[in-house]
Amino acid sequence: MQMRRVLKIGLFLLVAGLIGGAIVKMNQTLSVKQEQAAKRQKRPDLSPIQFTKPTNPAQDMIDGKPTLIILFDPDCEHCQYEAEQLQTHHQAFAKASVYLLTTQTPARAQAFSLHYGLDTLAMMHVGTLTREESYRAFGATSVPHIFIYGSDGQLRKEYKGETMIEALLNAL
Amino acid sequence: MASIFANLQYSILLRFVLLCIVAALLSWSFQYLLISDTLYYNAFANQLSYERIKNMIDEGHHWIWLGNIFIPIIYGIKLTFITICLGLGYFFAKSRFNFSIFFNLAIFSELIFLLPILIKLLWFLFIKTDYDLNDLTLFYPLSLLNLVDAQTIPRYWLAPLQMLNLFEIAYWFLLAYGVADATGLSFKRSFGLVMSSYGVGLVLWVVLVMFLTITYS
Repeated sequence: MQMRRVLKIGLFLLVAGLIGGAIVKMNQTLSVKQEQAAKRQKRPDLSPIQFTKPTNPAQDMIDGKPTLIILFDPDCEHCQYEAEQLQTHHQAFAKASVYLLTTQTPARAQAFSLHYGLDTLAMMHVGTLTREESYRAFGATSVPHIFIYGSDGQLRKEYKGETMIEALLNAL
Repeated sequence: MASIFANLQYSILLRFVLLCIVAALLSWSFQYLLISDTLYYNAFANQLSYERIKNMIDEGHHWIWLGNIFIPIIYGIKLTFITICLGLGYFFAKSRFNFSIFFNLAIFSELIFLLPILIKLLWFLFIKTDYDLNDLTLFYPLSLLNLVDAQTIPRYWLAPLQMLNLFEIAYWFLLAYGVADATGLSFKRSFGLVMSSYGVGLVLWVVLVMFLTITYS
């Protein structure tokens, strides 16, 4: 009888602890996400990013160019398709800057850039950032994840997953 | 005590298989009668090209059988979880534990959750015939979600509001009736046992679903 009572109390405390802990954690996660969502409304500072070719992201703002930021992974099939499409329709992006960013190594980013012919296109910039930098700037994301910022640096559109070129151009 | 649940223990496996077959048939009817390629084209036309949507649909057709494999696995996990909850409640009430009686009861009571699937199927087949993928995902008959605008509430509230429905309440009563019948406890005491065991399990499940949605979406 005594044992059963101890078990009952123990189980109650365990369940209450689990629910309480989960609620606290959910609250924290929601506030972090809200902060990140607010931060994402403005184009993030791209200066810490290591690019595969000389790039000055600050110049876009001076030139009043809209910006496309694509978070990708070289192994992701949808990202590869997106890169192919960007290469094929690169002229449509002549008045914009396109940043393809990955958390993989600079060597892999370089290989990706070369493979899809992005290295020779003036408006395409492939770069790497650490997972922490990516999380701080964009929050938890899957790939590909596309952010389109206007010339004023404000977020115009956000796409999760592969997106056709027409949709990207419409948002520019 | 002559109990309809205790007497049917021999057929647990058979009843589990029957439940899975009925669920698979409903799922197949849902896929065959309600989900067309056009739904996918309409849902993704703003983001994906025609060819890519077609590839996605073709790929989906290759893997459609996988959903049927998951039916017994999901039911197995769900029914075991409910059985453990009820078993623990009974253990605390009577210092006894009987897995098979409560598993049997869980299978029998689970049939009530096939009703909303059937209603949903008939609803979109005959009443709301102009629907999109979003409507199919969000609609749950007689649930709290129908009382709010699903488009305006945060995503993590969708599952809890879907789970709070009249079928769920009927399920609590069915479980309580089954517990009373199988154990000889009064209905009132059985209802209390269901709420303090399965009810707590359900709250834990709702919190887990919300937690995963908030963390990973």
